[in-house]
Amino acid sequence: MNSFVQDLDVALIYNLKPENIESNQCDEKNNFNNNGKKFLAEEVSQKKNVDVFAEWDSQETIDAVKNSLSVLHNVIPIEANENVFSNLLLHKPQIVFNVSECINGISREAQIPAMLDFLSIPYTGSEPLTLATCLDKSRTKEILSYYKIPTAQFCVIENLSQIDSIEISFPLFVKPLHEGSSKGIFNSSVVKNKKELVSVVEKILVEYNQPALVEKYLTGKEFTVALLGNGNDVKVLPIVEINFDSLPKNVNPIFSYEAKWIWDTKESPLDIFECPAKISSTLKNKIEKICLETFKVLRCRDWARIDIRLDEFETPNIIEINPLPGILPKVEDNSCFPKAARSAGISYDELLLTVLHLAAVRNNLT
Amino acid sequence: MESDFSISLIYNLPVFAEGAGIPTENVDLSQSQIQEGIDTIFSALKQISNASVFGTDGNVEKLFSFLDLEKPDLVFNLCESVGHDASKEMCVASMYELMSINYTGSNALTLGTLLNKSRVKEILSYHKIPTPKFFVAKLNSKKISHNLQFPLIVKPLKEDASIAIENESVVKNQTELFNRIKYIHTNFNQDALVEEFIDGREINVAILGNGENINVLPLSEIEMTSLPENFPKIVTYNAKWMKGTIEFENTIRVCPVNIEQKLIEKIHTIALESYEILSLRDYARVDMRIDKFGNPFVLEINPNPDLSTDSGFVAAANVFGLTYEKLIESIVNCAIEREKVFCVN
Repeated sequence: MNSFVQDLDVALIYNLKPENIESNQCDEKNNFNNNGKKFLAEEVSQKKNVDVFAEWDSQETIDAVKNSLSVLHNVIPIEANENVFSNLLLHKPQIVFNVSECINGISREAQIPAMLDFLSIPYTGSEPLTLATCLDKSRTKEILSYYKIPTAQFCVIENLSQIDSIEISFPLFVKPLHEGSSKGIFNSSVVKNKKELVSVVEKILVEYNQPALVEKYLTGKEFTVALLGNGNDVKVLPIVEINFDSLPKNVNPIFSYEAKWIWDTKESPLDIFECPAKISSTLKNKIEKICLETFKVLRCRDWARIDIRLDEFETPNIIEINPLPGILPKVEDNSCFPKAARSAGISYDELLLTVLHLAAVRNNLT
Repeated sequence: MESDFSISLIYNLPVFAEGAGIPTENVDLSQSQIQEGIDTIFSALKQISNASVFGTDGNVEKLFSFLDLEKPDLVFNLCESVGHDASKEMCVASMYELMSINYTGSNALTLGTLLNKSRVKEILSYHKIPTPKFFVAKLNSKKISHNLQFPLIVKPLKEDASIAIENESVVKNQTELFNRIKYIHTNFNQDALVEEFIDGREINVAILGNGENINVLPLSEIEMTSLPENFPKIVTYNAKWMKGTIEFENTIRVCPVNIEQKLIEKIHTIALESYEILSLRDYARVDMRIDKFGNPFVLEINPNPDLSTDSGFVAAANVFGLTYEKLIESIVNCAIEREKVFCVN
């Protein structure tokens, strides 16, 4: 690790998942029986989605990131709460390792980076515009389409009356327009007819209070790809394949909220990831190429994880881009970015130190 | 609106107010002139609400304490840049969002997107909205290859208010193009946007409202027929801001415009589609050019057009029948109403 930048004053900025909300505490009655029922806005605001904090980190993850960075740096953890600003002024870090996702609106992941831009404090990862753009799945797909990067045919539904104008044929895949971490993606997100479509769209409009993204359902394999680097020096880590055979019988082959947070537990982890993916070198090259193009077109910095799915012609399509990828520390946590790194012989410590190093070099902190 | 409804008018202090050390030729006058309008807007806000005002110089600590103290129900957002950095426009909006404060105008993502002229054109092109063909000449690129038809126009990728738009911006051949790109790279330290130049009428479309309650205000045209022969027919920085220059005196805003109904309809459709596609809110101005075949092209979209009393947006509102005070009140109402909007059907 001699080649890494060392001895920086690093602030780790994060959002802590509230302790009493465990990811497996899913009350199916409350969350799956809303079909056809309309809610008033007031009722909605009182309602907590099962996955409202899915993007936030646990104390365990935050400790792990802190420990890894502490191998070479002086690390102060700062929670992205109402005191984040005064804490930044107090500690005056040279650089921030940013894993904060915040909560309000489509720019939520951009808010801490925006604040850091004001304070001229460098940070890891992408700039506010990229972070906000990637949370707008339709905007991202428009940009990819402009550059002829394959992505599933789509439309955005803001109210139920628009459903009749959809020109994409069933089956369709329906998800909230502005979520990450598989939020709002359930086994029921694949719809085969109008009745199912209406029910899922309505659930998204009401419970997530945002438009629904309706896409052609891609029938092929799914992969997730971790990228590390900047400019012309971006590395693609070994590709992770989502092994849908590991899911319970009779469920849709998608990486749903259930698959990510319910069926996959520490006690009995699903054998859902295959890394490196057992794929032909032709397919591997194709996937790597579109991931690198996507990273560049969206102007990602330092790192990102890109989800890919094959269409019926085996062409890789971009599903979404995560410029703030999840980094759960333990092998059994099944977190994809660390998994891909491990497969490449990069330890968890090395991975986080690399991301920090990339940001430090980009900001001439060497 | 309740009489105790509180609105904070937040604007950016002009760069020169930061003090000495900034050479005058770099002073962005378009920002300083905006300040003239602040008092007018503030008076209009005072008539309808419990209003306060704050000019930010980029010190986010002061901005935070102000908002923390005032806890406004709404921010009337006039921040276009902070310091000399227009890219901070979206950062200010992100701070309002972080503090859960509603604000007038477009959201942070849209503000950030619109500042990047090529990104806007990518999105418009995806939706088949006509916009001149273009390419981006990157800062570090050595070769300039393209398949566009001269004449071309060269702009900095990330500036607004006509900064760096001069007569030399329109180039007729590869040498002029190369020189102008080099000028942008050197003086503005950013990528250059190169577009096919559409030599035709320039139309500004002011839009006010959201969703069902949206109005295209009467069109304005910038007439340039009296410009000297050797001047390209464009609205340069001088034309926009520098009184007394040949460009300023010979680029005349006309509102309403004399234009055939069919073309007006085309312009309205394109402007409204652009507004919706880019998720604009409350108010915005879409600038277009009409080519010699009568086809409108979107040049640029301004999510927070100048609202000073002599601005084009205000002129269009006046012709529409809105007084200055009513226009400001309408923008405020748009922002309040859309917060309430939530419908499944």
